Amino acid sequence: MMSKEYYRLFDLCVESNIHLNIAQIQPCQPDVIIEVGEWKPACVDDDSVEFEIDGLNNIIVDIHDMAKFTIKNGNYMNIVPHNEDYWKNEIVTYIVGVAFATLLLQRNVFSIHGSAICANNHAFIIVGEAGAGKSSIAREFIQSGYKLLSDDLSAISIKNQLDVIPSFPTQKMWKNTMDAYESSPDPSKKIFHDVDKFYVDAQDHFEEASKQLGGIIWLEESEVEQVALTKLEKNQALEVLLIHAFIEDMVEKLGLKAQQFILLSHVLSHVDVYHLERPINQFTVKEQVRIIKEKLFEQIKNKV
Amino acid sequence: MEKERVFIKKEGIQPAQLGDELAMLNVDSGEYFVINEVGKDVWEQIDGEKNVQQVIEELTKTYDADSEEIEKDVSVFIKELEEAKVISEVQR
Repeated sequence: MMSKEYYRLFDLCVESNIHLNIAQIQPCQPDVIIEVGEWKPACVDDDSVEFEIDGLNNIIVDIHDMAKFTIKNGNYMNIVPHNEDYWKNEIVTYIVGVAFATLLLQRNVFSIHGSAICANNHAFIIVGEAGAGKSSIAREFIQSGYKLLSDDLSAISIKNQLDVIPSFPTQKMWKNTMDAYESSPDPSKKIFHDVDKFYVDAQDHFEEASKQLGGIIWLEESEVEQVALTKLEKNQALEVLLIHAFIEDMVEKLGLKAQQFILLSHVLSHVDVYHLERPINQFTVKEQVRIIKEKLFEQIKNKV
Repeated sequence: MEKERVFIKKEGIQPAQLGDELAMLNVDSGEYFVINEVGKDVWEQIDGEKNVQQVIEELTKTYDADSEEIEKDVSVFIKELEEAKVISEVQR
């Protein structure tokens, strides 16, 4: 087994005995411990998933074709891989994705499925279906000098105000998105062995401090001729957030649906959801960024 | 008589403040709906004891509108809340 390393993930200090190639190593006093144990074959030889939930603070998720995850008390995660030569990046992705979001639920922090960008000292979360173009627009924001707060999973803290917590300085990106930016993927950063998606380092463009939530952007491909941005009514906005809540099935299994509903409604009492529609099969990402800068970011600036 | 009916909030309905409006989740079914400020006031008055007439009287005290208008609003919202299955009539 590897020696211990320390990382900052979701504003928590994490001690891990598996190398997390999505963040920089930095010494700290651990809040969370991640332990990967010796591999053991799964009890069932298929791709099914089994849950064992003994209260909020004792959760086991056994993904039979990957690993068994035990998540406890918002401060401990144990992982038993089910293959001897497991695809490490896949396990790391699950650790800092679904498993970490579950651990955050134990800390009373809910997450939204979307990336967050920092602009004018506020966080803007971008949600959308797979293929809507979230990582492209996030990349374009980074190229335009904005900082990334989180990729794919935006955790919201309600401690003082509504804050988006910085996750870790890496983006997950499709190879064809990278092609558009003429960057070539690093083979060692392939996330799944059978999918053309890679980690892309965003260390130099990462915002390390929590930022107050400024708004939510719902990106969708639609029948429009030009990129369009409209503010949604609250009831529509609620529907969008409920659809894009992260690990919905886990929230339900843990009996936290009512709590999540209150939180999302609370979020929408403070910020709006904007529908960003982009024409099908056109490369309009620069225009998307221009419209958001003009209509959304400027507005926040004027409010401050 | 319509105004003598008494309603009660159903169990398992989680209300949540949504700006000026009120969102309600049926925790079992996952269905939810949103009502405006007036609807919210009607919802808050429903307690399994006051009948519709008394609800109207309560709201007339707080609102600066004629009772006929309030009466109309209340019956609209009660119907809406009943259809959304977040309140039910108390059978006596």
